[in-house]
Amino acid sequence: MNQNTMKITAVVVVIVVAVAGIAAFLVMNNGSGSSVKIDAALEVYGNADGDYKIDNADKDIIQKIIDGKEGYTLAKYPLADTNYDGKVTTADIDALKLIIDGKDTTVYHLNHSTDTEKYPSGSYVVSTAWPITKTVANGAANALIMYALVDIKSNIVGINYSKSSPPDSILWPEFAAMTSLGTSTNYISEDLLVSCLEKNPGTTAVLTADNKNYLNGKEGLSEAELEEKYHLDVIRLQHAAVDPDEYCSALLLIGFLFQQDSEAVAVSDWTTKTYKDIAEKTSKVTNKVRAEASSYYTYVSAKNSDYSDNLAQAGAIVTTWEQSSSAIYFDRNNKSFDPRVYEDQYQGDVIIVFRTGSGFLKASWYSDPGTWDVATMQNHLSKFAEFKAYDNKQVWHTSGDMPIVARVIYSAAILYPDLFSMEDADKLHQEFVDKFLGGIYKVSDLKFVLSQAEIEGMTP
Amino acid sequence: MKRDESVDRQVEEYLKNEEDLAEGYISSVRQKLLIIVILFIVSAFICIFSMTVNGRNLDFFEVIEVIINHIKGTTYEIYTKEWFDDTFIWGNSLPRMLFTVVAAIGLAVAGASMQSMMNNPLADPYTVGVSSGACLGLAISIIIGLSVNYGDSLTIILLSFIFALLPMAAIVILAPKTRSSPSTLILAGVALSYLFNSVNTLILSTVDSETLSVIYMWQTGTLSAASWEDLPFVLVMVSIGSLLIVYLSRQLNLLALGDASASSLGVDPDNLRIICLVAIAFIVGAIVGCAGIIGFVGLVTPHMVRMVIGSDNRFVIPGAACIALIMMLLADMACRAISLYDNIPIGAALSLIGAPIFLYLIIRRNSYVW
Amino acid sequence: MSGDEADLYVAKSKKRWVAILIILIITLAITIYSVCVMSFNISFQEAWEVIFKHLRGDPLESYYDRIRDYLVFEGTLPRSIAAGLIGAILGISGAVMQYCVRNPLADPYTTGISSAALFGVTISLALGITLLPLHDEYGIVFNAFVFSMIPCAMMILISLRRKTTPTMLILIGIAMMYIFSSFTMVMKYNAEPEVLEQIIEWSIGSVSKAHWESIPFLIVALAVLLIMALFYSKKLDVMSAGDNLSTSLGVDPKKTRLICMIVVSACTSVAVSFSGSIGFVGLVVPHISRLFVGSKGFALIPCSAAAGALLLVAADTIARSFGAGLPAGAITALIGSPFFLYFLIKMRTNGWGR
Repeated sequence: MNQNTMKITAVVVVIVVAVAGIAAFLVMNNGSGSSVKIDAALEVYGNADGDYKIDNADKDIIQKIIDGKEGYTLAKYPLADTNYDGKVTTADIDALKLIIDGKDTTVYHLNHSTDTEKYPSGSYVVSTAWPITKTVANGAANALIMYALVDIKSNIVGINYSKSSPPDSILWPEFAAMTSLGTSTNYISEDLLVSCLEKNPGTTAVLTADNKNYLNGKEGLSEAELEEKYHLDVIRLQHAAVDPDEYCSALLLIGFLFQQDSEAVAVSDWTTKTYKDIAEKTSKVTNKVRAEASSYYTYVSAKNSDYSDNLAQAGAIVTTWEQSSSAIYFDRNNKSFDPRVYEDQYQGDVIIVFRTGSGFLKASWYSDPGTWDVATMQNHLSKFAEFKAYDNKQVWHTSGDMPIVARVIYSAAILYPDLFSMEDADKLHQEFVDKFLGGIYKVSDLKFVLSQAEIEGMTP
Repeated sequence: MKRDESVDRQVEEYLKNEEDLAEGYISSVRQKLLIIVILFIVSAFICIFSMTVNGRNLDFFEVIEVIINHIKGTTYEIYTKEWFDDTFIWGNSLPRMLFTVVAAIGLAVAGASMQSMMNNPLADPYTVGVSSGACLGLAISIIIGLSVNYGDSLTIILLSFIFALLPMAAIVILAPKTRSSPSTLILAGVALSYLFNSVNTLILSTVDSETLSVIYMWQTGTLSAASWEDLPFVLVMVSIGSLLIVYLSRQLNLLALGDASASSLGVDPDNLRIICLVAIAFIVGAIVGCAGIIGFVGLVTPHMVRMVIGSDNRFVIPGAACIALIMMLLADMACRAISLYDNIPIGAALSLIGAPIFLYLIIRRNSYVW
Repeated sequence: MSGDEADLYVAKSKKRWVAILIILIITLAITIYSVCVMSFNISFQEAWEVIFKHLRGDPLESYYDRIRDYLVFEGTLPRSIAAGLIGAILGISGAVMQYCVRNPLADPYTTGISSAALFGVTISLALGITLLPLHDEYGIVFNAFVFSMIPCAMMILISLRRKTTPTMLILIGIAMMYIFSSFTMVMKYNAEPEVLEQIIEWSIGSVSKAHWESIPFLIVALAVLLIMALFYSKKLDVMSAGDNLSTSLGVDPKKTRLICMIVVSACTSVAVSFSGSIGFVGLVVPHISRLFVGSKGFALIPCSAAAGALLLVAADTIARSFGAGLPAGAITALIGSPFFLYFLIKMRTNGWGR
């Protein structure tokens, strides 16, 4: 080859490499952005396009509505009304600017509630002083996990929990050290709240669950009292939601309120992807596994309860019948014993029992397995003796304290051992803990799933 | 001559005895009044004192200062110590204390009159089923989902009050049909009380455990739901009932002689019982709707007072009211002092404090002919 | 007494015994029928077939056979029998208590035993403390029994030291009741919803926990109670005239009262330990019986036993027929009160038989 060809080849090679490099660079930079898969919406007014974040794309939509462009109305984009005054004007754009710039302002967002009589759509609009720096919070296990995931533990000045299920002292030593502000997760005592508020000036919010019995005022303060008397913003989150979009919605909201958006987005992305992966793999199975859930040794969970939802998300067919209250008793001595539970059509091939450590192990799931109360464990297991699944050694016990996504992962591994091995489940779990919980525990040191054979084989 | 002297002496002695007896009666009445006045003063003191036991840790005079300032209309900057003091004392401590006072007085008066009316030491304000009706009302209103939030609790209280009047109405209707001794009326009342209780129980056994906890909590006695919204209603009802009973206390005394003797002395026993029942229903219906069932006070405080002062209702009723007030405030203070967080139910503290005292009095008093 | 009067007297006595017999027959009939009443669908013949099969010792093949055998032979049959026994115990206890304290509002629980028993149950359910480390339910039952004897002991102690009037005994019972119930209240208040449900179920009273193991205890308790009550019935009649009059008639009221109350407490404790405190029966059944057979103890006590058995068996059967285990304690008042009120109005006598 002569010099000309060589020169041209060199130039072409350089161009190709450069283009490839730039392309790779672009792909990598946008990787975290463009391949984020979150279907959940950030339910804050100002998030006009209804995606998972508030950004300039929302400003464009609001502008289009103001300009009266075709197809852009408030009815189509209800979240465009940033200042919640009923109309879309430049005031909404100004309000949105404040949010995007991170300035102190009031935001409007949705609170979820299970009180379907008061709130037929399941949610209602409230205003909150934003951003929140200090808050009082609900101390339920799932709530604490959520706070850790979006990394707002240091913003919480007080929690309320019940004496029978305090924060796990191994996982959350800082929370376990706090005295509860009420006798249970439902109530906040006025006395204790006032002392807490005095000690922590700048506390503006109260985080609680969507359960309608929480903060209902008979014992301790009610939501209205907190808002009117003490000028605190009450925020209701569905921190025990099993449906990935509902859960991520709550994560995104709490991330937004505390300006921890990137953490919330990262967790939501991972969670959504994992759920989608499980759903995809299990959808290919023709004979889905029939299973039931339980959370105690005298009953199985009703079809619409959270634990049954766990199994449904993991790809099982839940075999119990529809029932309004949450427990179907199989214990003959119980007044609500329903013999239908033993009929073939309602029995599952697999039973997965989700138990808290304090009830089942008399210890924490995060503590050394040597400290577990084997006698109680075997006693509780033996109560399932009348079930088909027990005869086939398919009664599994697992932790009800884990993050919900971990529960679903392990349920999938139990139900479809050909598709998901226990090792894979453990690896995923550890990845979750390392990425989003700061690696506070090592999955390999602990045991989160106990098969029937394992429990029976333990020595008391 | 000698006989005249001895007769004179005998007459003198006799007259002196009479005077002594008369003096003894008066001074005894004076003693009783004195005791009651002392009880009033102690009650007033304890009222204010009870507001010092809470998380704010103010002392006696600071509490008075805060209240007077609020009445004068002083406002404070939000989130300062004074603001917290003001909001808490005026918004929580004061209504709670006032409600405790009203509830204690109401229950004691209802209990004392119930015992006189039925001539039975086992009677308490809940014997005739008024409380069962109120509990039923509470359960129904929670199940149909009446809002239990701040400002809306009045609806629940009204509903349970109306239900509380049902057993009373039933007895009023039944009374003329039975036309017999008080025992019949009592038994009818007891049967009604059981009836309403069983309906209540049936409802409770059909709900899930979470709603059950909520209902159960409303029905167990607790003073923490007291707020300025509910207070006027309870105050009015209890006042009407108590004043009525106080007015009738002399007549109630006569019931102890038996129906025949009472009517020969100008008292219509059946009528009297019905009026008393109405008064008791008003009192108990209002209190149970707001605070749930607080036992012990209505049954035991009248006995305690009778053991010291005797069975005259004109003294027993105010005396029992004061003792009940003191005991309830003390019990509430004890609950808060032990733990602001733990929520010991008031009935438990009351029984724990009062029952040993009661037991002691029973054992000590040989001559308690109630 | 003239011939006519004598005949009238004999006729009246006969009528009393006929009434008692009728009540017993009705009770037996309901008990026999009730074996088939449960939430699982089974007919009367099938139920008795299952029982005969079991007694013959036939082997059980299919799952349905196993379930039916369990539900009938281990479930409804001992439950119905236990209901009858417990009802009878409560009926007699109530009658005797009302004699002893001369108060129409007295019932078997006036001595405070139900609160004490509930306390024992609560500490085992909520705190897990059982006095004997027995398996599950037996621990609870034993707890209940031991604690329910404490008020009884208290009363004995006080009676030995001081002169006790009936009123005093009542008041002591009340004081004991409050002391125990206050502790129970604290534990109940801080309990989890599931445990609370169990405690409340126990306090309402339900026969559903009675098994074959409890029947011998109940039979013994009933026998002891019945014999003692009949033995003392004449003395109890005399005691209703008042303490002073009784002494002058040769009956020692203090001793009689004490013995009666101790035996009543013990036997009722046995019943309460297995079923929880079923109210209403002990209070109202003696009054209803009085309306039928009069106040004479010798007739009143068997009648109370029979009527108590009838009421509880009927209530339990009805409760079961509604499925999902309604507690019998709630139904007793529901069916008993209207009857009682009706008779009170109709008979136009006062409930105290004077």
